[in-house]
Amino acid sequence: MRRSVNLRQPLRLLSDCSCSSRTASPTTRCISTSSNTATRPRAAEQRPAVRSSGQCRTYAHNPHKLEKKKRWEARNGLVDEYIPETDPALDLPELSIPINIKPPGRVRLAPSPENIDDSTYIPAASGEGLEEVGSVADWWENDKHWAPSMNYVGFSRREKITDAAVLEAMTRRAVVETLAVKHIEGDRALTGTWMTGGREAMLKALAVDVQVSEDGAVSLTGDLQAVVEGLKPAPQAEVQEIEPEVEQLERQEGLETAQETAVQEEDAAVVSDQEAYSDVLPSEDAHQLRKSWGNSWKSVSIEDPTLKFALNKRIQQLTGHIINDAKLITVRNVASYLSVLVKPPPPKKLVELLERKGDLPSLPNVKVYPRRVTPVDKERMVGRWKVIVNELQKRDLPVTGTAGYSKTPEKKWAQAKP
Amino acid sequence: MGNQIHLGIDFHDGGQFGDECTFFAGPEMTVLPLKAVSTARNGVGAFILQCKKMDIHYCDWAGSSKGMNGFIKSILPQFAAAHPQIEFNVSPRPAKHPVIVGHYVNGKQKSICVKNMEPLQILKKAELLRDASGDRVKRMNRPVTSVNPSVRGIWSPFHGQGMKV
Repeated sequence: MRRSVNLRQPLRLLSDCSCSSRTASPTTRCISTSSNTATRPRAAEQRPAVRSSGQCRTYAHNPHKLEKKKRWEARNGLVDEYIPETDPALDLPELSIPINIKPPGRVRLAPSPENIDDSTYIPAASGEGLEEVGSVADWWENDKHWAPSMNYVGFSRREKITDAAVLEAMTRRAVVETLAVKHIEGDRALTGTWMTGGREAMLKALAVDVQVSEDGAVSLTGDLQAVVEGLKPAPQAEVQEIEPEVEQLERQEGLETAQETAVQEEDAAVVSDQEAYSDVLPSEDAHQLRKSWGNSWKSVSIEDPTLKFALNKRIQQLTGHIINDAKLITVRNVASYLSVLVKPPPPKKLVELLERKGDLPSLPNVKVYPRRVTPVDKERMVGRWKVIVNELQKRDLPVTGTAGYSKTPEKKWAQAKP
Repeated sequence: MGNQIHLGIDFHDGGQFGDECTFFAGPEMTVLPLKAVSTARNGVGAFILQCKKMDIHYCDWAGSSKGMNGFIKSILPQFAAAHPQIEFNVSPRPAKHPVIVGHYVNGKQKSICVKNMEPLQILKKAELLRDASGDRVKRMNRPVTSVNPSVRGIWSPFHGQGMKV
């Protein structure tokens, strides 16, 4: 996943500068769009003046590029002398906001050949064969230049749950949570932001008993208040001055060897995975729970659109499955929701699909083969392969393949080929 | 008669045309007279479908098999159930175009490539193979073709009233 750097504040400062101020500053050049300036004068002093802010556009916003360009112009004799200037637009205030990225440092230029004291130094005539140093092309591809907190975190679960029993358990959890919120906090709370919750919140929700009476009324027995509390965000800890994560990473790098860091990263990854998936029920437990629940709870009606939407959103958050609107409209109760949600993964091969459907292989006049029927298979079917093998072995001939024998040369002669 | 094989026709009462006659041979008779047996006509009394087997080949990966895979999935079960006298062998042929091969009672076979066809187009081809006789395609340039001999029979000078000169 590529990430984009959001350097909004410095860019805003640059873009806020009016064009007239840029014309006063020699660091910015504007190119006129009118046709009478088709031939551009060589000297920088003779460049056409900018008419108005509406008629020009900035050549570049990047001050580093402009500096580089001016340096190049000085080298090539386009201007008399290059004097590094301080542009008020470039004097950005020190940012007090901690940035969780590490931008590349300033570009350092190698000294020109005239300034080198070593008399044996011979400058290269071409770039071929020279080692490339100091490139920033892959800077943002390196994870060390990003804080882990900048990684994208979506609403849905990252990996979809595929186990049918676990999906059913998660649906039950969502049903209990949705009904509990509706019961305790009302319909308005159904559109609120709910935390994913950890293992404890899941176990509390699964412990609630759901009973559906004949007239369709649903009764929940259990600690509903705890279930609702589990959906709310945890109270924030004391506000501390947050050290930028990148700096933390740098400090860590300085203190530890590379090997230790690698081990720690691995451990951290394992721990973070465990944390992320601690709310998933083991498959065995889900199977046992499914047996104990029975099917009566699946008759809970979800015809109320607010309830259905809240349930669908919660299931998307917990399982990673998105049910589209066309299917959602047909859903009347939990059983029909499960029939849409729990479906086996699509088969990779046609044979698997045919075996699953079962109508074609069950016909007495149909035979479905899982792999290609080879000539050897055809001989085996009529019981001739054994005879062929015996006869070939008797003559000391290869059973399969050519054993290095070439094709008959007579054929080549008959075709008059060289 | 001895050991000689004697084959002949004995006309009773001197032998006249139209008289009853019997075939006879010696005791070592090995040659039997020809019997008039009716030729087999498929469809008269019973009809035997000439197509006895169909091989259906497809590829799981190739796009040209998309229609064939749909045909196997949705149409073939009904088609195969409607034709229990035909044996169907469904097998993959990886990285090849889809093919239907019909095998006939005369020992010949016909194959049709059904690449990039829709399932209903493939059904038409399967019906074509089902209805085929297995013979080579022949030019039919006569308005009427029949295997039945003429109802008037072959003309004979010895039959009828004869012609008076």
